[in-house]
Amino acid sequence: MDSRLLATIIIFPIWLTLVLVFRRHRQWLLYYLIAAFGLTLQMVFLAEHFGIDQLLVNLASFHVDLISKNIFHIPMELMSNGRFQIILTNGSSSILKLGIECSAILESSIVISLILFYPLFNSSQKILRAIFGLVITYVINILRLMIIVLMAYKFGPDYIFLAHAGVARVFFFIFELLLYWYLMTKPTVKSVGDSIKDGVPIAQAATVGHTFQRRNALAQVAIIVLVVGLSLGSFKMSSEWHKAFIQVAREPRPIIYQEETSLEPSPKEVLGEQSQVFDQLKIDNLSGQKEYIYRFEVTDFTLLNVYLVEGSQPVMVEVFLNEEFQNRSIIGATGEPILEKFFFKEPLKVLGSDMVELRFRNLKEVPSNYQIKVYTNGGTNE
Amino acid sequence: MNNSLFILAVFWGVWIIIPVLFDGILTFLYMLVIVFNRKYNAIFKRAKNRKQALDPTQLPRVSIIIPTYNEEENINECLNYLKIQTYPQDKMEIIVVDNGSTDQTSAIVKEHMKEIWQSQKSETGNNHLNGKIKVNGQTYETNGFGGLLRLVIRYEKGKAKALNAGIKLSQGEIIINIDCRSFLAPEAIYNMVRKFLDNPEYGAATGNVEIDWQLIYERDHHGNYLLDGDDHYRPRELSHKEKFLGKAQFMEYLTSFRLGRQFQDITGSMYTFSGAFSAFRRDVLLNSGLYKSRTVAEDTDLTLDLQGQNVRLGFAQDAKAYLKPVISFERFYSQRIRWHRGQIETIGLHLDWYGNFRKGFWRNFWLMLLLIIDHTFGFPRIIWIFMLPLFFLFGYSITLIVEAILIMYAFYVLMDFLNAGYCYRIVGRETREKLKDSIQYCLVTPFFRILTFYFRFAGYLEVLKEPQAWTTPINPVRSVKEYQSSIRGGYQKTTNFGLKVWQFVSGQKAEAPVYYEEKIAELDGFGLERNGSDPKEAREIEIVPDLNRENGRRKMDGLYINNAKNANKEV
Repeated sequence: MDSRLLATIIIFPIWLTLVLVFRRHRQWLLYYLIAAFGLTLQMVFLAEHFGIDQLLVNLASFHVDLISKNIFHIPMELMSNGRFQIILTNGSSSILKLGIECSAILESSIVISLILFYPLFNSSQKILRAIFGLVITYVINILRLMIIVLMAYKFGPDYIFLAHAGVARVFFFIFELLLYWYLMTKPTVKSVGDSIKDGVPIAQAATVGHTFQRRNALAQVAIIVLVVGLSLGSFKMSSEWHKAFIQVAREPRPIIYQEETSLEPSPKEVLGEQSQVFDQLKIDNLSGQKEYIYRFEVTDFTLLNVYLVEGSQPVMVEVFLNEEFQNRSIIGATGEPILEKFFFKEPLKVLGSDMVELRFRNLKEVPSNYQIKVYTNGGTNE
Repeated sequence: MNNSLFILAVFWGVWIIIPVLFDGILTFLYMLVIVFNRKYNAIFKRAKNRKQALDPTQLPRVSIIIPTYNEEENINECLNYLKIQTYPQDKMEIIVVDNGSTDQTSAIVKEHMKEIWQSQKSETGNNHLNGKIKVNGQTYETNGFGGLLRLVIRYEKGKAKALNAGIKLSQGEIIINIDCRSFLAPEAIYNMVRKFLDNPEYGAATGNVEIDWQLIYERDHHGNYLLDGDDHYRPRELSHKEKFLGKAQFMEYLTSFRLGRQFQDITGSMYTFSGAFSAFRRDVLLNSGLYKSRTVAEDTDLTLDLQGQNVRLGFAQDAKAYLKPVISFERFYSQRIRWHRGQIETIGLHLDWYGNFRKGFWRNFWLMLLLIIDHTFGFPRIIWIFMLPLFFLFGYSITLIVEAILIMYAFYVLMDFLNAGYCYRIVGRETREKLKDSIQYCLVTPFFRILTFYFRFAGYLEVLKEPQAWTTPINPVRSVKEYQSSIRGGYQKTTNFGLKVWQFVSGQKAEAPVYYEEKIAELDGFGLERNGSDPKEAREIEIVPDLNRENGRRKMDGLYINNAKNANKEV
């Protein structure tokens, strides 16, 4: 069983007991703290278990793609698993990967838990506010991602880190605070003031004069319809919307937070201006063998690198030059989502008439889908 | 720097760091404004010559109002500190308003009155009055007092009502409200009055309240104070917990008064007058509608009321009051609950939501800023403090997390050191000594901040769910204590039983040990939590001193005071 699911199953009864006990004893700080924190943790675990975080990433990347293309006219291509290839202003292309951080799954869970256990609201208000908080957090997150994409596009990949950890983060922070002000602070202070002025209980004062009360049900429904309509409309507008829901890896995967946005070097950056595809391999019919060997002779090129195509399974490659072992590399074994990527940081240096042998090892038979490209600085297999 | 570390600290830690950073920026702004204001005054306004002494005959009459409820621990000393004031004592009128204390409070006050009438030293021994008060290394005789001391006994709940009763009886042109637990420095009232005389535009002013942990005295097993060689109460050696609370509060008050209040004075954005020491012009106070008991923070309520009437509110930094720190977590918790409950209540009453730009824009602005920093920032922060250490669940290495937490800790500490450094530059000599004594506590003030943060948040939640009470009945610290003591009680029973068996077997008889527990009275209860007193039966009894006493001149700190003549005139 997935460890996160297991953790949730263990946490849930303990959490529920504590919440009920503290509520019964009117220890509001402990009640609120444990209730909100525990719910956040469980929501994040469950979201990871069911792949909702990845879904959110895909959805966010889809919307970012839509906005970038249609509003800012940035040349980019949406790929699956939250990645896009941007053609930068200097002509080179980069792949921008949205990590799980960009799904704002943590922030969304926190907003929802804080609202659901806040003692001021009644249940219908809680639900409406939670939905509102979720939608707004998502929108703010998309805008934040747009800042990163725009900065990457305008100023180049060096600015991504600054954009990510600095500008975009502060932007997100400010707007989240406005959200908290509107959803929590304002109704709190206002209801307390009203209850003292009018001499009524706070619960009664809290239901007066807010956007989220039953009196305004029509407006609320209208807003929800508008939001849903806009999202559906955005899918309709794009021909690539299905990519938002493509999921490749269904197996449990640890989440890598360290690199949210990484730019993969393009073949031109690795192998120079004359880089081109030497050959493209697709290994999908293994019939029992665990190793696949690909041999060729060097013609008129001096550098060589092996490239893993998006959507491939993890694979290990060993390079032999004239029967001598040269280098070994593996992609995807650590469980990270598989990216288009060169196997070797430094290209292999070869001489004319060398015999190159690429051995793909540890292949799994079912299901097999290995796609590899061999890049050189000039010269093809034709 | 390592990218992942940076991302962890900045990207995720933003929910924890920014609120602190915001505090830091505000403090920096305070410093800038204060320094600029000082330079500006020095250059353009020709600061008034403050060395010049005021003419004693021209000084206004001052009424000091002390509301009490079960304050036998403090009332004696509080009055002693008032007796050593350098302000002409014939122009001082002290009104103690007692909300029907169930302890010796009113008896102690009566004894003081008797003593004033008899103009002689009490014979009841050190427990009541040892005749000497030591402030900042100087010893003052406190045998007599040339002013008027009045006691009002009431049987009605509420601090606000007690204060109002005192105000209605008072006759001074300047009315000073103090707490029973704030001990005024000898020049405090003089300097406070000077603030009003030098600056006629001020309608009210708050004093400079400073925490002094040396005011906590040592006592024997029977509760009597112990005396040192100078025949003075001996400061108690504090435990580590008490030192932590006391010195952290010292720093907190220092920043909040010397920077916060000073800034608010300059910008006219005073948020709250300290209930421990504040002064008003009589007409201003009477026009304001007095204290209201609708919130638990009647002082803030009044301050904001006055602000709404465009009264200029100031901060008298030379008028110093010393306050005992709250040194038990239990009472610290109730205090913070009351403050922040009151904060939400008063701001809820006074905030103009659809900000009237012409009238009260800045007032609204400062109130909203306060709310954002205290309340809004709190929501994400309450969870992130716990979330960050758990990030190893999401793929970060533990060393990385520890490093990130250390970075944040260093950030907090640096900020506190800067604060302390600035305060060191602006405060006087004896505060500097205290600051030197407590500077190393900057290393633990981050924990104090987290503690106050959670206690504050508890107040914000309690205001939504619990009825108003001065001392909150729901106290997690007390619950834990009770739980512990119940366990300990069980243990004691077992051991007692074993002891009895042993005594029976051996034929020995052991004497029961005498334990002295420091009595934690509900010091600031003001009867709010008492049940059963019917407001209909509420009545006020005023006790005024016997006026048929001898005219006498007494030397008091360089001032010759003719006490009885004026007292006769006044009543």
